[in-house]
Amino acid sequence: MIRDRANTLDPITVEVVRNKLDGIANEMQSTLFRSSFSPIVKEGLDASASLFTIEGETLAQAIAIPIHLATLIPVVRTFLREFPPATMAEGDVYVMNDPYLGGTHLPDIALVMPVFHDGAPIALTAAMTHHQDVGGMAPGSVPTNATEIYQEGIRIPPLKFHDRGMPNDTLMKLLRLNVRVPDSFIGDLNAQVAACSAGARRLRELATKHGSTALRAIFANLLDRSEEMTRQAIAMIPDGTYRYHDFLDNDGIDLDTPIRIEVAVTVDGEAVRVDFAGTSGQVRGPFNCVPSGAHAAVYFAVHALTDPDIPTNGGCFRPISVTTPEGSLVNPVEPAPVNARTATIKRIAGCVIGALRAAIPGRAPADAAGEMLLLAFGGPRPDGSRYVVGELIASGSGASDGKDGVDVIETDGTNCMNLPIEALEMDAPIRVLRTELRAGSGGAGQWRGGLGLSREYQVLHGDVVLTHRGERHVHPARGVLGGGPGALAVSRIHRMGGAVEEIKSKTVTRLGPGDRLEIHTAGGGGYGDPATRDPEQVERDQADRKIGTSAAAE
Amino acid sequence: MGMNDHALALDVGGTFTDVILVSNDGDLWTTKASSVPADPSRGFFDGVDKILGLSGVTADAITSLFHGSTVATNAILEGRGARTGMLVTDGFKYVLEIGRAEVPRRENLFAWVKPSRPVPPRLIVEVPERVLLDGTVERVMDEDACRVVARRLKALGVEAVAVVFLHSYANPTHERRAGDILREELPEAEISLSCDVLPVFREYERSMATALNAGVQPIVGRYIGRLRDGLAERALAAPFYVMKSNGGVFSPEQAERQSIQMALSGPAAGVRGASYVGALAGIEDIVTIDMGGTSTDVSLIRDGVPAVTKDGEIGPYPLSVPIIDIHTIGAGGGSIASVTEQGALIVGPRSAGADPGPACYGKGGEEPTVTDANLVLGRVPPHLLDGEMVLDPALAEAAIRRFVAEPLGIDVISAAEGILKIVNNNMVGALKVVSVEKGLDPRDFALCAFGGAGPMHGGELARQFGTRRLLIPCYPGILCALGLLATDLQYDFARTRIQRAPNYDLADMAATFQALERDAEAALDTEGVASERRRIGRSADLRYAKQGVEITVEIPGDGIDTGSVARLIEAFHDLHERLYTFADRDAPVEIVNLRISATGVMDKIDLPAIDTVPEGTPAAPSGRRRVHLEGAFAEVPIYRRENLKAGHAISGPAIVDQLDTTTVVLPGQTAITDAYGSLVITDTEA
Repeated sequence: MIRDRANTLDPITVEVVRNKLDGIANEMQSTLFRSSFSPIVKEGLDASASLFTIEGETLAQAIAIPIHLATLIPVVRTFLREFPPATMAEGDVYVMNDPYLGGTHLPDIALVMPVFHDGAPIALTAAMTHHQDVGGMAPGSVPTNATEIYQEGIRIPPLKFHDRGMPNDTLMKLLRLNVRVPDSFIGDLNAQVAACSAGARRLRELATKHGSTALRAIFANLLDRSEEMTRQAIAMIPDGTYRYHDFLDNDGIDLDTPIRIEVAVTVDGEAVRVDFAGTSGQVRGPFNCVPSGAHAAVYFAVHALTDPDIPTNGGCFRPISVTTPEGSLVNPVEPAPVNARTATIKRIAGCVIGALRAAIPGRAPADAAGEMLLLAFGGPRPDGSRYVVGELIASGSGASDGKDGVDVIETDGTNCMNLPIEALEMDAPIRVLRTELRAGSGGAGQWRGGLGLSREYQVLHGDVVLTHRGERHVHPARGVLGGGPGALAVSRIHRMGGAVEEIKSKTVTRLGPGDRLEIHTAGGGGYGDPATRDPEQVERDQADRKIGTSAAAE
Repeated sequence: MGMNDHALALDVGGTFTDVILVSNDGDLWTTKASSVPADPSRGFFDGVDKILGLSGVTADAITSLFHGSTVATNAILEGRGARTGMLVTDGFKYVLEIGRAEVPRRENLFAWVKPSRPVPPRLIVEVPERVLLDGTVERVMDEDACRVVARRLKALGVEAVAVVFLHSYANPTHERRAGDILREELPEAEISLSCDVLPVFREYERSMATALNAGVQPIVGRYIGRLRDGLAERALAAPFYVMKSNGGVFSPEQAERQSIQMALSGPAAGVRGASYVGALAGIEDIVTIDMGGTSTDVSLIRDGVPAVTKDGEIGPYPLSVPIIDIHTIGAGGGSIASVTEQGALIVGPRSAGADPGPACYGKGGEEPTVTDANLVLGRVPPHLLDGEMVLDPALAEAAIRRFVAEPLGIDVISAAEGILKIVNNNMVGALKVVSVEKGLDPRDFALCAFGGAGPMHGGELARQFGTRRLLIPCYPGILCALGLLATDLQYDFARTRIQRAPNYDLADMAATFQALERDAEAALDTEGVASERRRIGRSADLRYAKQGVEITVEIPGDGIDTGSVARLIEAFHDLHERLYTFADRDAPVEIVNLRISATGVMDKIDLPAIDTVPEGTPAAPSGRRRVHLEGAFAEVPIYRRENLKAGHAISGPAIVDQLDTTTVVLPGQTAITDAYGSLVITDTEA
């Protein structure tokens, strides 16, 4: 049936339109980046732009950060329920952020605009931005010690941001009063409107050129094609149910209780089902993750293991279904807090890859450390001004058949840049004493796991508040087929007086002048029997001091 | 140029070495020689000998010599740099290895493999020393330890050494002393100091530039040595200049020390050529597209000045020295068309290259390429280079039939049209990256299409992209060589001196600018640039506090005072607003890097004006050919480019053939020849 429909369309026009849709999504995203105020968008590229069919399926997406893959789908579904196409009007823009109605976490605000041609809505453009602040108990709206969503910021249900081109002043006034930097908050929302409008303009041009009926037929064809390619790729995976589990260290509140994530991935012909039964119940701290995040992680992992060259659109997601038990970490009941869910999404992606490893042993890597250590220092400069510097520090990736893991690299759906040492020292009275690859931290194997990073900071001035949000301090990234685990993450504070304090993965504490913070991020798992490693590789690793005695952590 | 002066330019590319010789009394010769990738100096001298023979000009009549080279580019891209060691601050051995911890944005996140670094950790040694960001020495360098590690590198057989110490831009003493020690211990090795190569903050990018520079220095040095020998043999003693990535030229002596500045020498010359022919045509805002066999380079010129970036790339590595901002995509005339299992037609990224080349070359290439599609549609004549090269339409047709038409169930002509549609669509995507995605409107720019395949596709690209004018230079196939004759000596100097609002240290800024100007004047002294030909420009990199990216803003005038700094800050807000749609005038602004650009103005080529006819005189076709344009075959008039005179008008549909390329004028377009032989094509329809 799919092939029949394809044959009635000119394949060249279909390919040209596909390229144009990608181009439109990229143009929307660059509009978003160029016109946003939030440094999280400008530096961390934490924003994404998408095109949807009027039925709510993803047509094209510009993804700076892979975990945004598919996260807008439940948002769009909610909007379509609240504002069915028959009620949509030209100039409408819809807004929402509530995780419990389809959002992700409160700083991510989604805007959606219907695109009209010949008086009827033919598609939707959508933009999601991580806003600098949406209110709540802490500046930045990502409090690691939140225990309720109310502490995390303002919740926005699906509402009209513009109604037939008229801004919703009532909503605007309400929002302004609930956030810490209202001008840049509104500025960022306007940047999102600009991105949606740019996309809508280009889609209208396409509809004028091809006619909206033909264009919608092309949309359907593109979705069918990606679905078929994904189904063919899934069909190559042997049928069966594959299980895996892994742990997050703790929820930032109960520091001695690990959080279990369990997946059963069932490959059934051309379809994949992922069931999260066995996963921990929702937690008190903000590591809960609403189902959209679990979906994003699953799509990312399946896409990574099938054929990454398949054009990404809603068709890729059709063969995949996800079950999340209510009241669990991955389907929490409100008002559970959710702001720190990125760590959870990363670990879910790792678990799905881990499960499918049993099905396609040669193609999936060993566990990645998947640790994105978040450090934030806040304190005074000698001239009296105050600073806050944040750092995201990567860890080692898992080894795979024929390839050592990558040292100190972003994996599992995030992709942020580190902060140069010279930039950090410019910004804050903090000195970096050393930065190294963490020798010996990669899991042993025929192919070695990627190494973590070792670094030592010294506070030079004033009373400093340190936030440390780590992972892999308790459960290592496991190796496969005889490969060893990656080293656990270790962090310590060396007080001026000589006392040494070990950090249990997450903490908010104070540092004084002369105090040193020593961090070692985790290594990735190894692949295959270490005894079979090529001696030349061992020699090279020794020469590069990637293995051998580590004076650092042990 | 004086009487009987001759300027010679050679651009050595992957396949051809393009040569232009021009005399001050209006004579101009061009030729091509085959490049010899194993020894590019052979292609260079084949080109020299060929043009001298062709013109009858003697070597002693050559008064200046310009050269664009891919020697440094290829050494970096193919990982053939010299065995390089590195000295770094104790505790920071792995800066290069760690990088920025991210997967490059345009890469496939799922399939990316971290490229190996130009220097592996085993060749990186640590030296006890530490300088702080204000230049204070926190830990004095241990010279004995430095000597010990220098000897270790010697034992490891390195040919070049890079020295990168933290914050050396603020105080280079340790790096310089380490350089002295290295020269004593390894007298044969090339030494590269980060305070010379890129004295600005961000240790990874500085390390990379210095390591790459060290690695290509010996290779560039040997290459320039061979050129010097060959030139001496021919008694060709003219001053000799090498193209840099920033669009200027420098002397071979500088090229030997600052080899990294040659990383994108070739494409930069093309952009320079486009801005030159644009200026002759009175066009200052241009998007350029240089479409070759395997790749296409796109860039932007505003007010006659090519856009420059400090966040460039060479292959997988960041390149933070100022370079012309060029966006490259892997598609060109040799890109292969194929049909996926799901029935989608795709073009590229695979390429048939020069060998076996497109199917129609008859050199064993089976798969159809963009060139084959152009041939089947009659847009390319079956004879190229005055008959030196014969193309076989039957082979092209067979390839398109087998690999595209039959799998899709369509006829060969529709398949060929489809191939062109898709490749043009990809090209328009690249044109948008440098314009629309930067907030610029294509209607404000002319498109300049060159390279072997550019003029064939320019007409459709201009329409799809939405520009109003298309410029096809007189010599589209050798515009890079022409660009070499339109450059200046150009040096960039920079230093990081962070200044936080509101406590800008004006005395420190003035002193830093003075120091940079001394360096700049010294460089121009070395080149013997007369004072009336010197231009010194000052600029600074600014950002809002907490931003991770700086914007470069020019500083007019000489002095630094509260007034000039206030104007600088205001100019920054304005530029930020233009680039990013907003300015935050209440936010504190940081001044991060200070920059000096030093120009030694050189004589430019005086491109001879061609004969004129009254404006709008219809040109006379030399014949007709069956060409497929806009859905149908028609007998289309063919014009010879060399017969066109200034003022001649051609109405589309038409084909203009010349030695190395073909220009397609679409129905509804009109081409006017300008005074220097460029075709300016506009749409008469809209």
